[in-house]
Amino acid sequence: MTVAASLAFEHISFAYDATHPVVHDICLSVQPGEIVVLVGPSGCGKSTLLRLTAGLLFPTAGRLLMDGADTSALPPDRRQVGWVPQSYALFDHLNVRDNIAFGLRMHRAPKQEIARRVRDMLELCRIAELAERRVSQLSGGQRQRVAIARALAVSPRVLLLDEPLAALDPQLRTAIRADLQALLRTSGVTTLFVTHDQAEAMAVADRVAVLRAGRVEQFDTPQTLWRSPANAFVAEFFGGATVLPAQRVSERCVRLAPGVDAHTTSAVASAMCSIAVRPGDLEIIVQDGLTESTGQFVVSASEFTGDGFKVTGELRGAGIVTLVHDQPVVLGQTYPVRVKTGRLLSIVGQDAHVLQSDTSNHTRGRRSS
Amino acid sequence: MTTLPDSAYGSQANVSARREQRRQAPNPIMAIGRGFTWFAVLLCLAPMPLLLVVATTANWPLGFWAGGFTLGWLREGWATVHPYALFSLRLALTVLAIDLAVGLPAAWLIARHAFPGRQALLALINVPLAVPGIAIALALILAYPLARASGLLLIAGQVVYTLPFLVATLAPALAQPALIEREAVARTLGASAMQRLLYITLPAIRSALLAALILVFTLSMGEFNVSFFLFTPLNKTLPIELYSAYITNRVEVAAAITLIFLAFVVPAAIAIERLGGSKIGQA
Repeated sequence: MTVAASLAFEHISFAYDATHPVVHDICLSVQPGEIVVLVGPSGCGKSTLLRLTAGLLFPTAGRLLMDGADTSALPPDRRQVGWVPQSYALFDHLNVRDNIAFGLRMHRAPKQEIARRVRDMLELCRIAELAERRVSQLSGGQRQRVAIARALAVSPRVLLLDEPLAALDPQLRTAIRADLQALLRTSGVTTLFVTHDQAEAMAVADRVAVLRAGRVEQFDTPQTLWRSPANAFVAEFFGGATVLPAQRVSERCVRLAPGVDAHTTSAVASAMCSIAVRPGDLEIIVQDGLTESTGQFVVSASEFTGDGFKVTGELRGAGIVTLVHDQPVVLGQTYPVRVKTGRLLSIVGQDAHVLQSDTSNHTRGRRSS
Repeated sequence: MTTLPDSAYGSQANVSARREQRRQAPNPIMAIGRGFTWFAVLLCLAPMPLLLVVATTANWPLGFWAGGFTLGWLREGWATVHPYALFSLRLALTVLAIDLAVGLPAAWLIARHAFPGRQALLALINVPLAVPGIAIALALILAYPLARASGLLLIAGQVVYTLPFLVATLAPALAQPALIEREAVARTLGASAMQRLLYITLPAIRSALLAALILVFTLSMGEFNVSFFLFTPLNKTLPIELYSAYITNRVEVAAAITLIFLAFVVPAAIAIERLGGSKIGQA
């Protein structure tokens, strides 16, 4: 329906003043029709990247390519980019239909085409029954759809979504996220999607760029990010893991702590390495008491989650970890723990493919354009 | 709210019980306060009906409607002031146009751009708020003595006097982050600068703009200090003529002229109140 474009950031930097770069040397390439999620903590520069793409900001260094053509200097009204800010910024003096028609009217499209296009957008976003409503009469989810319909109506080459789910009630978010993803897939538009929520990123993305302090820490598929995080930040922020140092035991096995050995997803390259430990990886051993061959886990906090308990404590000789247990535990008490049978743990920052994937994707993107 | 349980807001029985309690034990301080309020309202509003009575009494020095009811004074008053009323109207519209042409861009600059000298510009625009009208008028006369005869100084004086109110009303409306974001979205949708102004900015600030325009109009129609120093026989405003009428005419004519003046100003003042009242015109 829309003419999806490829998008490439080439060494893009942006700073309001020379000493405090907001984003620095960003290299990303996005395939036509791909959904790329930019994820990172507040202030990491992800919204700035959207504004740079929309042309609301101009890079202080580097180039922005759309379909291979340099668009770094184009003003926003000539970029054909659909931008949906976090607030949705609907035109509240217009009804839903006129909001969606706005871009087409600005382009002086013929009346019949506007009517047809608006009808298509209302249908695509499943808001046909809201067409004559005022913006103030819409719910959060409906507003989001109107904002996306308005952006898609002008057939943008790239769609930019800034925290599109953040303004919604948490109870609705998961359902609307699934709807949104379906909508994006149907429309086929190249999408940059900003969020600070890693679960959202995993659910929606073809590929995820993890940002920290204005730099890309890793850019890859959610599965790769989960299995082979490039560094401790990616493992902790994206994977929700605790990163612990470990000793090599054999090619596919490491020791996290005395009595706690773990199998790894890939071959261990050096004598010492970092391992991402997630809440599901460790378990408290119920039957046996403490022995030489088990790890010692001292409970410091416990949260009831419904299914069980999320227990945080110190794994003796390693560090603070979190695990899931189905029984209540006693604070301050030491429990025997081990890595769950069959569980493979990720080695952090070792996989050569991970470190290079950013560059290889980049070249692939350029070739295709 | 209707879905809330009774306990949240108090049941009907509770409310009437509380009302009963209040009737039994009136708070003396509240009662005194209410008394003063009504007294103040009466004091402020009493001159209005009195004006009407005076203007329609044939011979006011002898008392209420002495010599009978008449519309003669109003007719005479209108005959005296109507050239000045029309002049004031024309002047107010001229001032309005100049204020808009200067003030809208100035408000936009102040609201949207952090340029060097922004604070200085804001302060400069607000100077007339603090400087007495007499000083503005004298300064203009001293600076441009030759322009006075043409009536240009009168226009300039009123522009200087009213501009701060226009800018102070428009700048906050233009500075709203939500509006700036909407304009940015419109821009990504292909709207040019003129299209954004017409279809996004102006609709968003329409109440502030209308209020500012009515405010400037009312201020100009009623302005006395600046105009008193700058008027010429050919460029005489309604308030100045009102003053002469009080000095030289019968009190009935003066009352009639005042009523005519109020007919110009009061509807505008009511409109301002309905458009947002106290928020308007504050720096």
